[in-house]
Amino acid sequence: MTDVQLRATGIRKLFGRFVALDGIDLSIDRGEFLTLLGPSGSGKTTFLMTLAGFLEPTSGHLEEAGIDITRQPAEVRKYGMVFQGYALFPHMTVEENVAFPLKIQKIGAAERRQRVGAMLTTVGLEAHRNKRPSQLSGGQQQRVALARALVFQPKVLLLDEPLSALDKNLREQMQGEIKQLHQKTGATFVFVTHDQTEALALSTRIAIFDRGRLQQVGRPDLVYERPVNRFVAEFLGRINLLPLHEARCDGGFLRGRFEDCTLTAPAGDGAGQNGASDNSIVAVRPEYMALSASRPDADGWNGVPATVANRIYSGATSLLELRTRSGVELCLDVRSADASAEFRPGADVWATWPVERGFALPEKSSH
Amino acid sequence: MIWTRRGVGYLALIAPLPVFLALAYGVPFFGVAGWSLTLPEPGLSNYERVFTDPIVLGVLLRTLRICAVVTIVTTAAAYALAYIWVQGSPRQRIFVEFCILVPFWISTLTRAFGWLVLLYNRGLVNTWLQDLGVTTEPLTLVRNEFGVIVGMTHFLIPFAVFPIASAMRHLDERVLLASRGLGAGRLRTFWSVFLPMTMPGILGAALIVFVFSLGFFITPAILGGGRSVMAAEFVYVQLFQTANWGLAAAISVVMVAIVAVLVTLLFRLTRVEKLMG
Ligand SMILES: Nc1ncnc2c1ncn2[C@@H]1O[C@H](COP(=O)(O)OP(=O)(O)OP(=O)(O)O)[C@@H](O)[C@H]1O
Ligand SMILES: [Mg+2]
Repeated sequence: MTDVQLRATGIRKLFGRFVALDGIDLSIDRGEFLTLLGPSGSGKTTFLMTLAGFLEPTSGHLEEAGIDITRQPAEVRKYGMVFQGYALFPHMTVEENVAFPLKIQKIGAAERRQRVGAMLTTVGLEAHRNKRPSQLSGGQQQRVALARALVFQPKVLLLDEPLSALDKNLREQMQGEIKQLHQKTGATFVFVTHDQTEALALSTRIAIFDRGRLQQVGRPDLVYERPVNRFVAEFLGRINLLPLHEARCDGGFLRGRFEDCTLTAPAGDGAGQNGASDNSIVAVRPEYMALSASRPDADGWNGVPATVANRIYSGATSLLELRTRSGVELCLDVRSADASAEFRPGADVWATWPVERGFALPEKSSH
Repeated sequence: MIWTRRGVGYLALIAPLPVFLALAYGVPFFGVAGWSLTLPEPGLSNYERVFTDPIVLGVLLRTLRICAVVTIVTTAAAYALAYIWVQGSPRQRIFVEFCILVPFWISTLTRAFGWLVLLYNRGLVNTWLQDLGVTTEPLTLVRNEFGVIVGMTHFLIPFAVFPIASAMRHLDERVLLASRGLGAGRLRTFWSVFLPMTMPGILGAALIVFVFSLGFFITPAILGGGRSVMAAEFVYVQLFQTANWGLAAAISVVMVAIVAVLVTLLFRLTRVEKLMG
């Protein structure tokens, strides 16, 4: 049941000569939780503002359920929006803030009171209904913003880094609450963040932005496991990159030399033909790498000799930094409780991983 | 703490200001208050006259009325100007800035005479109105309250623009976007969000204008033409023409009291507003 609710085609947005959005094509399904993820300045807010109707794209089209809404103003689209910094009305109480969209829709006082009450219960703020936003904590303000955006049951809810001002614990709690609200309301959520863990935890799909371009869209696990380019691979989590010499594609596998070893990785969808390949980097997520004292002799394993350079304690796990002979840095996680000799700085080890856990990436990013 | 060497040094640095203020305002005020109670003879007779003499009462009431009207008109006009100044296109902004700053370079006297030239019976406005056939007889636009109000408003608008513009500048634009995103059109957003959120600026501007206008002298003297006498001019007459120093002093004290009450009230109000903001 893929039912496209919003479709952006070729959205470009210029600020003067600066290209903030460079041809975004993106379909958003009804009821999905799409996260826009990207570094600062990559155009996430600009795209969200364009979806909301606060910014008009320089070119390109926006459709809602097949109808062109490119020039429709925000007050007609009426998507709920939670702004970075919440943008609550400071001169109104919590209750008045939440009642505001219902008043605009001329919903009668009795129904209004009932719906506002129910919404405040949902976000756990009944006790604070008569306070003003300035008298609330950050997490409470955030919940008022959510309540205000959800109370009129918008088809689409747009959230611009709603959790960025909260501390870690509150943030995780609010993530859970947002996810529950998404399931409960069934509305389409478009969520902006530059926190990758948040994106991976919440979304049904992730859209990765960089410098105004959409790099990749897909399920969190697919984007994480099969990034299409180096930018996405490096942006989402940690990654080990091993450049190959004389990389060749053959039988669906990429093969090439790294220092004195031959490495193999699945060539991926992009690389069709056999022969010399543009893809010349083997990428491996640290969690798939293991250490061993000697060269792996089993078939289907890659191995690279390296020296342990550093061990950084980080709670349950420790980060191990390795350096290969040519100076390429690798990293992997080990359990902090494990005090084996090969994990000590200075030890000579082999970093190994199963062939199918690596993937091929092009040398250069797409731009 | 304060009596450390540095503390004494700082104290010596900032002391001149309060001392100067006390000398420049406190001493004359208490002197005037003293006259009001002792001239021509000790007692409250001057205050009794202020609140019973129909002429004095008339002047005071006219002053309050004119100042109230001037305050409302000035604040409203300044709000519109400030709005364009803050929200307008770059070209509109420069234009408004020019309109606000130029009056500061022209003296009060010049401006009052300027209005006289425009508004008197054979002035520009009346000539045009008659030439265009809008009126047959010249309208009385000066030497009455209308002329005084026009002149005072013109003088005071720039002073009201600054506090209002500052309130508008500090407003978080996302709050306005939020309102529109929740379905409110531009007009509704203005009434329900923009106006209430800039209310502290409006109140501040209104206070400045009102207090300022209570003491106006030159503009009402010229544009009122001796017919719409306001408090300051009346005090002047009592002092220098009828030599009624006690009464003049009592009127002055009453005016200061009115201002003090207003300022206190407004500070209460704006503090409440700040709590909201
Ligand atoms: N009104 C504007 N005028 C000029 N440039 C703008 C404007 N709004 C955004 N930009 C530019 O467009 C680019 C994208 O901005 P945007 O706010 O969309 O980034 P973002 O991905 O939301 O970043 P962040 O994570 O820091 O919020 C930035 O380089 C920014 O400077
Ligand atoms: Mg942003």
